[in-house]
Amino acid sequence: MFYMLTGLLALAGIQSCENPLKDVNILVSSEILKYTTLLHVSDTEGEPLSNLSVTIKGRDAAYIYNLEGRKQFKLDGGLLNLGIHPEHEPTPGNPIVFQVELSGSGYLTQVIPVTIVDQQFSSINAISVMDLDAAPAGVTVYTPTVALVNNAIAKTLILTTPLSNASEQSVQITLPVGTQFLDENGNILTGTELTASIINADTDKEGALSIFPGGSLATSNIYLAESSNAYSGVFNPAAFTNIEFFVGGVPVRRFSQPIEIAQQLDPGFHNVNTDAPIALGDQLTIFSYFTHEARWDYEQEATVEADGDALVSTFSTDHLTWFLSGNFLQACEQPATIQLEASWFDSSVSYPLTIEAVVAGKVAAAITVSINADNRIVKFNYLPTQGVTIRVRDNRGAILGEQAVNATCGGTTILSLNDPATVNDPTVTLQLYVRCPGQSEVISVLPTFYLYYKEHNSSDDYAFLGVVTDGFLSTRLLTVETVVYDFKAVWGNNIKIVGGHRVQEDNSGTVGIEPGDIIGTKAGATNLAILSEKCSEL
Amino acid sequence: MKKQTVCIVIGLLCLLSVRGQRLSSTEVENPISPSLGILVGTAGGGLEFYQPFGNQFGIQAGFSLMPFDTQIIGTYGQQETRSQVRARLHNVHILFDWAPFYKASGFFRHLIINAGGGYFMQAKGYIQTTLNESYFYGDIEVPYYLIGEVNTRINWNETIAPYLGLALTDIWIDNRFGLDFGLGGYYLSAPSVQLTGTKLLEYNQANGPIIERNIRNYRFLPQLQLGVNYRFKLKY
Repeated sequence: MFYMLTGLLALAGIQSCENPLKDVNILVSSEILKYTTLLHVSDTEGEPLSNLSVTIKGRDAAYIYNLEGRKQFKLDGGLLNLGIHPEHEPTPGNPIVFQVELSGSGYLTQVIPVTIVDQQFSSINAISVMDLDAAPAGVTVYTPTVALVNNAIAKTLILTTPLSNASEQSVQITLPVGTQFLDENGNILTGTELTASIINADTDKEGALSIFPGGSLATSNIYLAESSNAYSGVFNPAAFTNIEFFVGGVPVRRFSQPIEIAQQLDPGFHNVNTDAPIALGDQLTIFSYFTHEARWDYEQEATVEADGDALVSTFSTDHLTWFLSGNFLQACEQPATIQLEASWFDSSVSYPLTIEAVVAGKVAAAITVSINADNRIVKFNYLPTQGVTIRVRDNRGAILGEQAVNATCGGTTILSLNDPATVNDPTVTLQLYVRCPGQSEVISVLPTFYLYYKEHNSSDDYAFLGVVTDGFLSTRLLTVETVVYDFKAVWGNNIKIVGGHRVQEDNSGTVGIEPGDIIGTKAGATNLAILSEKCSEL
Repeated sequence: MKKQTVCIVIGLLCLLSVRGQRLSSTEVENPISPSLGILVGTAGGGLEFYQPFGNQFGIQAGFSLMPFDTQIIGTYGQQETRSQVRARLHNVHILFDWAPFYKASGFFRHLIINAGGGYFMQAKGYIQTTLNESYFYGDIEVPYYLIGEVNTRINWNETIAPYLGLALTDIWIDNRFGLDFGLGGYYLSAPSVQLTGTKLLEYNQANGPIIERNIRNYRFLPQLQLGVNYRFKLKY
């Protein structure tokens, strides 16, 4: 009996010693990059662009990665997702600042300044890059060719952009006799022909303003008169022009003698210096912008003059670049905080809203964000404290609220919103789970992704539906049962499109390969490959 | 290692039996002496008070404390992990002893069967798991302090656990001290597991049921003890 009991006890003791961690699978969240920003790049007609080169530059460029943690930047379906290194996140008073240069053959190069401040975990920037062969209404692209004699202008020449493409403003460039053309090193360029590319935009047209350097009137890296420090602020342009000259294919940077530029001004321009419509004798400020450095420089003051029925701003310069005539409103150093209030906010229902900062009747900056009761604070960079109105639109463009920005630098503007038209629509909840191949348990380690939607077979662009966090999104923008939708999910560098779906009020699904799971019918093999790859990273 | 342990234990038993046979008394009296013992074993260390009743019965009461710490390094998932394991099993107990062979001479005289129960004031385990290697996300080496940890808490209910075992008690060393050897086990309540993760290891709740499954047999707490008891009265 003794030996039997001893044996039983020993056996039981050994049996109970299973490794408590057997079969445990430690999952590391892929949400390493807490601060991300999404650039939505399209041409001026709203078509997504993917054939542009992307370069990240500027002070904090070293800390910028794609959402897979790589230093590879590529537009896909017009989208570029960027994240900030987790050890170099913004802190109060120390934003992350960098620039995104978008360039490509046949396109006007854009360099977008991006500033990400503390607690601004996600943001979406809509950027237009102009196809030189498809300028928006109000933008003139003029490309004359001029013969040179002994590498110089033979007799005084005036180049005037035509009033084509619905343009109402033009620019006139006077090249005095004997003018020679210099490269960036100051060498005289030799050739028999000068080719020019002159782009002039009407400043009262929103579409034309979309080609504004940097993509936004609210911008940074601005050097004021006799200042070696860069400032930020908002431009209120009465005219802006890009001038590029080439001799023998080499870009012209300077001239042997000053040339004269006369910009026709928007007759409806509101001069914020006088707080009145523009008038003869008003003073406007001339700024220039050098694209590759994304840098604005103060040039001079100019007096508004008459040229026939038109008002013009005339000035001399010895170099080439973008030129702007208008007002500059210097920003305060702290971002403006906008706190949205509405009785219809719900902690779980997200609603995409576009928040615009309006200066002198022009949209100086706009942000589209996924708002809910827990996430209803928006921060704007580069805004002055005076002369700015915050305007909020819903996804249909209806204005839900409007209010002057808080006059205190760094202050919070509390803006109450009216009910949107969809306020009483049913709530549609989307919940996604993932089951890795070979696993029985679903996992909850899902990356945050952006979800877009449109009606099935509609020629409209995809509209932003919201940010899907931990696989969950709740919205009132979808119509239950009766409408068929296409969805586009943007996850890191992956874009998945799910077409032809009706939604229920409660939609949940598990992506996987078990019976009842979703793997997709149109690109099931690709989806499985992505799923397996991502699961292997967990 | 476990087989070696069993062999050592059996070998020790044999040695003790020889010693017990040679030194045991042939008088018919209770083999259990009123005494206080210090015991050390697989379920921890503690003190034990022995009191005989009649010729073949006794009672023993005491407490046992088991602090146990170890480290497990292993690959669970895609990453090598380091787990600090801490267990705390502290109990007070009371056991009834029966010496079925009290009339026998030699070794079998000292064999007693114990039955009783222990109250576990503390019966819990704690596993703190972190990554044991650098973690790269794309080109980014994620710093250690951002990764976080998985904390697993294992709890047994604070209830009375029954005990059954065998012992060789009060084997003669000299007229004041005796040697004790025990083998038995407590039957604990089913353990429950609470798992929480922090930072990048936050989403590991699915491992909770797996650990609970792994330890569902952790109900039997084996006890292998060696000890020395001090007799209150000299024994000749």
